[in-house]
Amino acid sequence: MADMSITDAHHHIWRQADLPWLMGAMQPRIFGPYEPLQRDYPIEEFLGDIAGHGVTRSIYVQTNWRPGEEVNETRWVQSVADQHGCPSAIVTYADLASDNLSATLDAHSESPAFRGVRQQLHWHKKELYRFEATPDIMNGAMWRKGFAEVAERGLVFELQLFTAQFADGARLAKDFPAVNIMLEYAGMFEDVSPAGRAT
Amino acid sequence: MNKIIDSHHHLWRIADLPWLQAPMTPRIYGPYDAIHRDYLLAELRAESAPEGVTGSVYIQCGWPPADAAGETRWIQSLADQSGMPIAIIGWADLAAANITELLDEHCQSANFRGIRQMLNWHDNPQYCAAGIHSGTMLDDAWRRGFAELAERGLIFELMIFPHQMADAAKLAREYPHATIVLEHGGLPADESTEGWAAWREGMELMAAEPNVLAKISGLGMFNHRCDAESVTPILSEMITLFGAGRCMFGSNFPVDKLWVSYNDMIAAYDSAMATLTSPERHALMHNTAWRVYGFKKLETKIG
Repeated sequence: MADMSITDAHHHIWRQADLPWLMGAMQPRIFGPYEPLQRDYPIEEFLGDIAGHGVTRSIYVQTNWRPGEEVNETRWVQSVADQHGCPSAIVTYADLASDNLSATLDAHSESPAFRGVRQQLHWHKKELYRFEATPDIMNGAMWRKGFAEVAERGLVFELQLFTAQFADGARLAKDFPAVNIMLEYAGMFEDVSPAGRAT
Repeated sequence: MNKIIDSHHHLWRIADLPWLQAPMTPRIYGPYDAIHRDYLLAELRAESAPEGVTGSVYIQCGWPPADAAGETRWIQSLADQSGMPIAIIGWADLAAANITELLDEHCQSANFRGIRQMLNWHDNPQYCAAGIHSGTMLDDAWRRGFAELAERGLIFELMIFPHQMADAAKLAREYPHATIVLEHGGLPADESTEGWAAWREGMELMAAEPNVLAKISGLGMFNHRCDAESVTPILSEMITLFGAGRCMFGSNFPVDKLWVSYNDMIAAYDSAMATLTSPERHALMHNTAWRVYGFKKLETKIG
């Protein structure tokens, strides 16, 4: 593949100390046991992992720092990018329904590699797979007011949903025609039965 | 007042443009004595800011080919002083053997976002762009340059007539990672029933390619008017075909200033948008353009 450049459009780097969910005892999670990840994953290791594969650009996606620390997450990743030329772009967190969304987005935007927001919205009838308590955060009036601001700023929105939420997701895209919505993880394709594939 | 991004305008100093220094010659847009002079940022701002324009996209306008990067640098110097234009579309002959170096030079200007090389070709020689032929976009050398542009994530601004759209749609399909912006509503020059049908058919082909966006701009270049009655049918059809998330307003000033004021142009668009939803209007007048032109290409490169 050496003759083709690759953009890795979704990866993380982290310092364990920034991530409450990576500290303490392991919890049951979507992705199963994760002891091997309960440590720092620094840019040096990522650069080693991609070496020789033709990756020339990469997009960092947020990793759930402590609430209120999301702007520091952006600043930290920007400092890494300034030093290492990687990642090329940053997608970080904002709660679109929050009162101070404008200020948060302004602060994110001070980092030149900032390009968009991920707020995980996935909900599943299996409790283990749930990130949000309800499936319909994206239908809330406040949240949609925030989404209009994402639209006005030309930012990308990274959307993480399970199948049962797709109809709402498609309506969101229709209602905000200018937003680049990135559906993450191939639509969280978790039910591989014929019936699951069909939905 | 709603915020607007003008996705298509020019600025010029007559001394930079050989074609404006020459005696007036017949052109698509008719006699142009009124713009046979400098058109500077202060004038654009004075007429557009009261309408809500907060950002603009500069489109190349015919500096001598050897000084194409000089054009980009001049606009960048204006942007550095005033924050406008937010984006610059420069010129290059994509078939040039040294296209890599030409693009490198443009890319040194932070607001540079892409290239326009006019490809409009027509039975009427007055409607043909200079330096190209009817099949330029099929040429291997030209396509090599186009591929390089696409590889860099830069935009190609496409100015063509409806009869060229089958070739252009094929180009879009063969380079699915390219971002192509179809200018001036696809040049609906022929207002006859057959002309409209040919335009509609061509636009359908363009809209079928997801990497094509469209500017609802310069619609008066052939009939020299811009009012609700002239804008509405084209705008409605384009929103139906492309969706507002792929459509952008552009003034094409100062050219369109020959027949309309900025204020009257916005009023015409406002009427033409009466049946659109509010997010659609925001998309068309501001948000789509900000998404397309508002961000620098990813600079950092690993290795």
